[in-house]
Amino acid sequence: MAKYLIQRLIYMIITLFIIITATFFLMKIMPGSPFNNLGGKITEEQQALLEEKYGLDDPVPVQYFKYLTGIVRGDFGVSFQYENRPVTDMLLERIGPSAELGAQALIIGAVLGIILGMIAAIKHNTWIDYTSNIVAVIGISIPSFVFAGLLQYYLAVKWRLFPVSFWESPIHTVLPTIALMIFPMAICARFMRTEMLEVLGSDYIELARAKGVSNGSIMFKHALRNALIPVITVLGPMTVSLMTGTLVIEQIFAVPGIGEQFVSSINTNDYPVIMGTTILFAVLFVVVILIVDLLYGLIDPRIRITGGGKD
Amino acid sequence: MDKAKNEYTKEKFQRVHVREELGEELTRPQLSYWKDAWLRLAKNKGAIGGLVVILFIVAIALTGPLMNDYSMDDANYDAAYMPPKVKGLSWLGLDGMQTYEVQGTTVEDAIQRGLDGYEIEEKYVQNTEVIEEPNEGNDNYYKVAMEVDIYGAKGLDDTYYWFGTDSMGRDLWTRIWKGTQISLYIGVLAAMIDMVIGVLYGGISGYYGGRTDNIMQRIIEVLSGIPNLVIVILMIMLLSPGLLAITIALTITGWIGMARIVRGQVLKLKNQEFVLAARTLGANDKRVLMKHLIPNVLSVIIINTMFTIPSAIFFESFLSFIGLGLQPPDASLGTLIDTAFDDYRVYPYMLLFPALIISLLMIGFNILADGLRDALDPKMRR
Repeated sequence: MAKYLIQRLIYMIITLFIIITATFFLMKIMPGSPFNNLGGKITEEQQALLEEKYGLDDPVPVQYFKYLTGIVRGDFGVSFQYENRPVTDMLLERIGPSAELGAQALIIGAVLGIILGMIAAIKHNTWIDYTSNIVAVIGISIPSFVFAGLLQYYLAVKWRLFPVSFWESPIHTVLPTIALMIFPMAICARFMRTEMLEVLGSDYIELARAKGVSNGSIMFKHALRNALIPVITVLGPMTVSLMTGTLVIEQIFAVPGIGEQFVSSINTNDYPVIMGTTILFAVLFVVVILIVDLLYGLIDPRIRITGGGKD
Repeated sequence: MDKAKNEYTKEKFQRVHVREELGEELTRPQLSYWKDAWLRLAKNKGAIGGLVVILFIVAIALTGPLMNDYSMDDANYDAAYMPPKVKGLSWLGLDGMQTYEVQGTTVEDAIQRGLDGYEIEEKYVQNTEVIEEPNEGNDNYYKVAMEVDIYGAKGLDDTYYWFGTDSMGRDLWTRIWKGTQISLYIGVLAAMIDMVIGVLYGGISGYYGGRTDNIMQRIIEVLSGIPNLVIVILMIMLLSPGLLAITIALTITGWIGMARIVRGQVLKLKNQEFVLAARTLGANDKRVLMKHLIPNVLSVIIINTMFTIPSAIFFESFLSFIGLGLQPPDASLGTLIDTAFDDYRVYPYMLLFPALIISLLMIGFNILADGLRDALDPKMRR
């Protein structure tokens, strides 16, 4: 276990190092300078001064080294667009709404999905099962931004049940949360249904039935617990979907989160912010995958954790 | 009863011609694996429905832009924001009527403001409806919805824009189906990448094993640790947004899942007897891999490819939506939805059609993929 953990951590560090390096050098060869947007308003001299101020006139290896050592200390540099704002501060300030939105969507989506999947499995091959299957397919298929647009148009603009956008009170979070949770919900429902069906067909459930255990007790004490374990594995794809989801959902509903910031920083060539957000996303992703793998091994002893990993 | 029994005497029964060679024949015609899978798929109504939807969309995407005389980027500012109008389909709401919401201190004032604001003569107003009485919340204004025959008002009575036009007066029917072509291209591309790079990488890694496998797996390990989104965004910024950038980005990341699955399957198969037999007969590595191993993994490859297609289509539209995909005047479903967001409150049809088509396409591919999985690999049935 310890050996496996160390091995995984080493891979994590290598992966992150490659991401940071690739991000940095791609930014360097990218066309356009952060001061392009000023469009002829500054002279060459002023531009040179600005570049000196932000350390852009150093040789690239020096810049790279500075950046790497900065990251280790939690310093992602200074934004080019917002005078002297450290990227770390900007990200910290924006992480609140994103985390709130993401957590709400993840928790509500997962719980609803698990309930839906469980009911579908219990009522296997009835109209309830078919309906929940259709809901799951639609949830997986329809792109989140399409769904968000429909929600916004009907529930906010037409019927005025919810505010159209912004992030001010709990009621403002309703529509973005629904739009973001539909995918995790669909995945969970699908997965849960499969697992539940498999568990319900197993011998120990037969035995429990033969012993005369009540139906409710079988469902909740025996079946649900065992069916829940593999659902952990969908946490990985769910996190990815939440990450990509926040980019568009935050834009559509004007949520002041990381995703919205990322999209706007791409449009303004604000390299330090882009790099900072990219690295943040990468760290989040890698850590979640690691946690999923570890949790899975801990909860289900049948899964042998070896160097081979998930293959 | 007795009488009936008596009628069947022994003489009445004779053996028909005996054919020894048919003794071993099976009663049912033998089904190949693929025929069997096809029969199972054909029984799955959902999957067939998905297939029909996909074929239908492909057919219109290819022929649709040729059906009318408008081209992809012909701007016509006199015909901007025309709502959809189709001959004979007015009962479906495709009647070329545009509803505007206008405000005024009285109902008449509201309508007059609307007429002035949108430069419409009064005779083209078909219908008005007060949707909000004055109250505190709206500064004591009347809010009136007025339905206008905008085609008549602009003197375009005999013109038909089937899906309407956008802010520059470009025909949305043509643009939407051209955009659908982009989505389909992305789907085909992703499938090719999966089938070629993914299968070869996984196959080689699993077949040769040992050191080769180790190195190839470590590369995958590192690559898969990087979120797809990050790679794609970096590539796109490097290459400037466009179809080429998306294509290359997909090539870098798209094959990893497939490579893993194929490797697992090959590892399982390569020690089985039929491989040993082939090798004993002198088959070289290439032959064993291409003729023996890959065909046995084919069903898994097909299933996985089918799931890749919708996710690639989604990814392209997602990138286009956040402005990292195709750039104007090119259009994909994602960019069309993105531009529709600017004014969908007044012109909801701009959002409706591309949203509907991409949703149908995604649902079609997902249902078909599910059906194929059930048909090709009954063990994986969910």
